[in-house]
Amino acid sequence: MNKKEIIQWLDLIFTEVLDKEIKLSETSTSTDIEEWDSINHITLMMEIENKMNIKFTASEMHSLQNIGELCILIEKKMKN
Amino acid sequence: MSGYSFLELKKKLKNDYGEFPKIDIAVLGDTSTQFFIQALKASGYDFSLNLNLYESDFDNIDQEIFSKDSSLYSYQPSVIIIWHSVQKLKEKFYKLTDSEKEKFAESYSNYLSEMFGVINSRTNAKIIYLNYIESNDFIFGNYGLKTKSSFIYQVKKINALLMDIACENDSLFLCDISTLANNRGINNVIDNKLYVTSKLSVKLDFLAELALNILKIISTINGQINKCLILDLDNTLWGGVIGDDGIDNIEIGDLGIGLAFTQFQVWIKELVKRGIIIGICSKNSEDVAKQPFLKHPDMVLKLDDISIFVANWNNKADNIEYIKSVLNIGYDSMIFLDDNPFERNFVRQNLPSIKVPELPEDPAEYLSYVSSLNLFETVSYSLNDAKRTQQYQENANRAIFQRSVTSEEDYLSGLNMQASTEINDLSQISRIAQLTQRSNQFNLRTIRYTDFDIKSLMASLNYRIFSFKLNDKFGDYGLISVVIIKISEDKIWFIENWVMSCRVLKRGVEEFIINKICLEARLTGCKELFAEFSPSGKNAIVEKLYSTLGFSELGDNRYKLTIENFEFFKVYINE
Repeated sequence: MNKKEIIQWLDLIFTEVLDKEIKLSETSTSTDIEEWDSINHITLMMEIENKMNIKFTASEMHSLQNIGELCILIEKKMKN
Repeated sequence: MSGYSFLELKKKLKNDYGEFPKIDIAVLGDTSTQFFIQALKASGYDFSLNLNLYESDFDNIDQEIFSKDSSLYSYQPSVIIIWHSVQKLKEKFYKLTDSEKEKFAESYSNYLSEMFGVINSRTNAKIIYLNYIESNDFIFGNYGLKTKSSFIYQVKKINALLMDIACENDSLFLCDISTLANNRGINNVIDNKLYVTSKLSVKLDFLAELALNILKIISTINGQINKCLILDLDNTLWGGVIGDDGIDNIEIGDLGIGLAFTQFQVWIKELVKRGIIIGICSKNSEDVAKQPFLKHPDMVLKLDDISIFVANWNNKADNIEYIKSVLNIGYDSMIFLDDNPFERNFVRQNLPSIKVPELPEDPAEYLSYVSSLNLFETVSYSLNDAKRTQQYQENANRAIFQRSVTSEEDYLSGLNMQASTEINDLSQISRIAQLTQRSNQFNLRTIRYTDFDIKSLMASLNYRIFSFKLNDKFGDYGLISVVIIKISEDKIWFIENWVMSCRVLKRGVEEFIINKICLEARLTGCKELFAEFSPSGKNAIVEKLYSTLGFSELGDNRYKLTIENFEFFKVYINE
């Protein structure tokens, strides 16, 4: 899966969890999306784990700066 | 199992809860409860409950409970959910010295007892307390089970002590998170990164299951209980089709996979003992359907365990409707189990309130699946519950019998009623007093008597206390009526009070009783019987009783019967 495909996946997950049509870009951050609060962040990360069959570490849970970084992380984890 | 993921459950929050009854619930947790609150609220939807949730500040349980003017008490919840996480329990435990560790369960359960006591003293709220996930830290390995200072030893002991505490506290209910976690597997329950980063003690999807389980307790507290289990027969209670395979070839006991059906029946038999009513609904002819119950040596369930047995070729929705009317309970307290998906869907479509769980394809999985649904949650249990099944059975049998006959006379004479009459029966003093205190509808003057009153009246020459017992071919009603006669010196009788249990109305018992009283009056030389009806607001059903029984009206609700002119009523009650 390349970055573009991952973002498409993430669009679906964000849309489902936040219950709102979401179009992400590599530079999107939680400040851009009102519903992306600390509570929904956990739900989002858990849903990404489930759907992509990967596991984040505790420090990764809250250290990501933007969607681009998240994509790199997912890409890396899916390769392993 | 819940079947819902957290996300699926959360979507229910968009539904409209406005129509549902509201319940005020307080949630106290020592870890983050935000997701738990969402899961509880959303789970309410399937139970038609609108939970109004109060979320306490994070890790503030003691403050909320022990301080008198906390916002918990001003919120006045009807249910308080308290969740101490196993993680925090461990943190407490590790700070202790070895000797303190050995006594941890005792000291900790004392603290919990005190906490519950304080809540009980300040509110009438029901408490739902989650027990502890029994996670072994393997400091001692398996040896921990025989080492008092190990965590696993102490946490198991706390769970056991909690059960003892709950047995003694009527407003405390335990939620068995420990079993839920065991069933799911601890690695699917606890994700330590969620605890480390967000103080979440369990995974989100497990929260969905936990919330559902707690909602079962809440809805049961709220009166929604399942009372009746309706069962199909072929391939549900035994393997094979009795009509085709015959009694020697159905699978139960040792034959084929019979053990699976035997296990299932043993479980159902335990439900019967607990007081769950069992109905049979089968497409079969009745005599064929009953054969295994009567003749098969390996059948665990017997006809005695079945409150109502319906086997015919009508559609199952109609038959269940019939069962419902005979048992006189609501569809929402009934569960229907059938191996046939067509029948399940047919019943679901036609009777939407009845619960129709899926059944696994493999009968070996029936029991584990159906029991995992926790269909028979309850908030009380007494030995009388099992007796109640018997009463339902008796009443069901009477109702079925009544439908089978065409006339009132056939019904009454077919009941084979037998009554006994006692005068001043000293052995029944308490029962007699109790009946005068409990009867509201059939109570002519609503005078209440204590044990002492009854005893004194029995000793008095001016009183005669008649008590009546009744049984019929379906069962024994016990003491059903009391008539208290006051005798004036000039041999005039007055019915000071007459009470009767409403369970025996429309059986001709009133006529039987007046016959007995008049006979006794005649034998003792009494000439006139006086009576009075005093309206209480609850006894309208007996307003016309004395007129119906042939008394003449004196006005002002007073009545008179001249014994000489009394014509005995025809009754269908033997002595």
